[in-house]
This record gives sequence, structure tokens and C-alpha cells, in this order.
Amino acid sequence: MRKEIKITIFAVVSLIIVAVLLHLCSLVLRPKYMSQPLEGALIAEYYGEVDKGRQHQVLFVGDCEVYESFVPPLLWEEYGITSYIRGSAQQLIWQSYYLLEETFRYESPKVVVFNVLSMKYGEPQKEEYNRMTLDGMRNSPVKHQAILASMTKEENIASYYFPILRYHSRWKDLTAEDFKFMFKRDTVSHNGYLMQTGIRPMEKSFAEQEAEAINKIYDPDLPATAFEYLDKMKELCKQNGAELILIKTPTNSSTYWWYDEWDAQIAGYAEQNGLDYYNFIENEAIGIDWQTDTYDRGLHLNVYGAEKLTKHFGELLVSEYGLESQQSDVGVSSVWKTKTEQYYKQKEEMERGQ
Amino acid sequence: MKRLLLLILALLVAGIMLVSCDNKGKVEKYVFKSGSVEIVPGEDSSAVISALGEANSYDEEDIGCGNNEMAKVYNYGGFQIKTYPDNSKDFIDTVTIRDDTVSTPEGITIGSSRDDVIAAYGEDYEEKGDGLIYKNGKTTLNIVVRDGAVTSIYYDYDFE
Repeated sequence: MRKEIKITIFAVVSLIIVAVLLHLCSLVLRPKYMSQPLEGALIAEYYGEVDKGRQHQVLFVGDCEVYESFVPPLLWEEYGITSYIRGSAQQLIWQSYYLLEETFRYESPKVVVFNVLSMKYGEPQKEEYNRMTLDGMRNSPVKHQAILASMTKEENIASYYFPILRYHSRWKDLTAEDFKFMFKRDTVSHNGYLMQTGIRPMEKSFAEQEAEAINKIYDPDLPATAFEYLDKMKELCKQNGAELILIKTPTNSSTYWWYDEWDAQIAGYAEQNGLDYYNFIENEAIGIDWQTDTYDRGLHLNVYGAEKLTKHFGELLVSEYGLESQQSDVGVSSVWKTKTEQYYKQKEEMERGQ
Repeated sequence: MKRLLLLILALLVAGIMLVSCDNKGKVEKYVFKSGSVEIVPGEDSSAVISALGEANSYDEEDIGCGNNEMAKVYNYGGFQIKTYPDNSKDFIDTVTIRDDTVSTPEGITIGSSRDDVIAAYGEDYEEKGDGLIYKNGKTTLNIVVRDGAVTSIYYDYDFE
């Protein structure tokens, strides 16, 4: 009997040791995204914010066009509006939907802003991008649904729960960063905004880019799956008392062209469903200068373009949606004062470093 | 013995001819050719770029959010090659025919008719918008046809 107990204890202890070792290996091997690509760190950063009980009036969801186009510290500074961007690289609409569902478990934003570029995708795309969104989410039934909706044919669900299955071959690429940020990572964004201060002017006009874009094969009809998720997003916002706003950021390049047929479908959907849709492409009121306000020849806005769009959008949030300044709240103000200082500090450092 | 060998040889030749007949109208792999240089989407670009000599112009393009590597774009007059970076190597991503001075090995060029395209590549295509998409493994031949005439031709490769 005593021998059996000893064997059982030995087996249990051995299992625990193996599990701990595997977990430690997994922590080392997972990509940390503390140097390029920083985008992979964005989704997980949100929890640091809500774990401190911070709430936001406005929530942005979508792909790179949201985390490169809106500046929450500026929205605060100019209008006293609190906001967070749950954006990630090539975030697909079902991922936006599940991120939104998860966000409503933590807070109740008054306005949800969704960038419609990802409506062009009706199927899972690339594993690397899935990872940048899904690996950062906390384990929950919502994450499970997001994984199921996102996996490409080559992926398996186990690797999302046991990352060592996916990243075991990274051992030969490990750097000091993998050990330094094994347990805790730095914050890379400003409430989800990823700063870029570089300037790389757009070289081709919109007309030239359109000519290139329409010479590529594209489906003039946005996929039905995307509209199903947009319906779900609309219902989710309704259930949670949030106003859903659809936007298309000002960026438009031949690589990621926003076709007129797609725009008409989104405008039609918005009208039928009582939603507001703002297409900011070639909206002169924003004042985007494509010679100075982009860091990659027009694919994304840099900080100067993002600041212009943020100011324009902030005015809309106040005038059309009645969002009120939170600056009279001492506790909230104190938090955002720090955030704003950090924003300008990084901006200055990055400008100096160029 | 000689007769037997001749018979086997004849059967072999007949077999090869039969296989060739079966594949008429369907190429084995989508390959673009410039002179004697074969350009295959998905393959390492270094040998091809070297064999083609100096390009008329060269550029680099961002390949998308979350990726700081650059695609290389080589323009050779009537066609363009775009590469995709992966693990410090560049692979051929897209080959685009830019005007009617260049045609596919099967004779299709800008201005060819839709019927020409179907005669050259067959009817096993996917239609999307104004485009005909021919897939062969991970290589794809994309042909845009507007008002009955080809306006764009490009080969690409699915790296996923």
C-alpha cells in the first residue's frame, strides 16, 4: 500500500514538473513582439487597461487602418473623450466581432467604430496574422469561437492552447528579448494606437492607383460571410446599448484598394440598418497631405495624418453623438494626463531618432 | 529480340503521345518565359533576376501591415516581376504582363479575345468579377477581360 502511494506521488510530482517545464519552455518560445513586428503585442495590452478598471466611451475595432489612424491621447486632450483601439494586423471581421463581444464583458462603450476594409474577406487568410490577433486574447469561450472562425486549413486548434506545438522550432531563433519579456512585456501602444513618425510620400496619384487596382481581379460583391458578422456586430451593439459607426479611413492604395462597388454596398447596408457610415477617402475637410502624412507611401497614415483624422473624428463624436468631456473627473483626468504625456514623450523621441 | 525491342519502343512512344493528347489545352505548370529564361511563381528569384540582366527600373514596396520586409519590384519593359521576402530570400510572387509587346507562352497578350484565352487555357477556370482565374497547384494565372478583350494578365503564387 505504502509503495502504491509512493508511486502515485512520484507520478503526480513528475507530471507537475513536466507541465511546469513545458509551460516555461512555452513562455520562452512564444514570440514577444517587443521589437518588429510590434503589432503582435496590441491585443494583449488591452487587459492591462481594463484590469485597472478603466472604461472607455469609444471603442475602435478593425485592422491596421484603425491602430494607425486614431490617437486616443489626442481624442482625450482635444475633446475629453476616453477611447481604446482593439485593432490588429489584418484583423478579419469575425475577429473584430469576437473581440467586441469580449470587450463588452469588461466595459460598456457608448460608441463602437468599425473600419470596413476587412469586409472584403470572407474566408480565413494567413496564419501569421491570426496569431497576432488570437494569441493575445485571454482564454475564454469567446476566444475559442474566434479561433474556430479564423483557422486556415493547415492550422489546428491545439496549437492555440499549447503554443509550444506551434513555436517549438523557434528555439534556434531565440534572442535576449525572449527571456527578458518572458513573464511581462512592455507597453508598445497608446491605448491601441501604434505610433509611426516616418514620412514616405505617396508617389502615385489616386487615379493612377485606381487604374492599377481595377486591372486586378476582384469580386465586386463583398462576401456574404462578412455581412453575417456585420449583422451580428450590429445586434451585439444594440444589446449592449452602443452606437455602431462604420468608417473607411482615408488611406487607399492599389494594394488595398477600396472599390466603388464595395463602398456602395456598405453605404446601402448602413442606410437599410439605420447606421452611420463615413468614408474618409479623399475627404478634404480632414486635410490629409499625402506628401507628409504617410510613412509608407499611402498604405497607412503616420502620426501627423492620424492626428488630423482624430481631430476631425472627435468633432463628429461630439457634434453627432453627443459624447461629453470626462475632463471634470479628477481620477480619469489624472490617468489620461499621464497617457498624454507618454504620447508626446514618445513622439519627441521618435522624431529625434529619425 | 530486335523486333521485341522495337515493339516496346513503339509502345512507349505511343504511350507518351497519348498522354500528350490528354493534356492538350492544359499546361503542366504556369510558367512565364522571357527568351530562354523560365519564370515560375513561387520559386527563388535570384537565378531569374540574374539571368534577365539589369531591369529597366527597380522599386521596393511595403508588403502590408505587421510586416516590415519589402517586396522587390523589377520592371523589364513589357513585364514586371514582384518578389516576396521570406527568411532572407526573395521568391517570385507576381509576374505581370504590362503591354502587348509580351505574351504568355501560350500566346495570350493584352488585347487577346476571351475566346483566345479559353482556346489556350481551356474552360476549367473560376470567374470572379471581370476575371478568369486558372489554378495549377499553388500557381495561378489571372486574366482580366473587359468588353471581350484582355486588359490585364498576371501570374501569382499562393504562399500560405
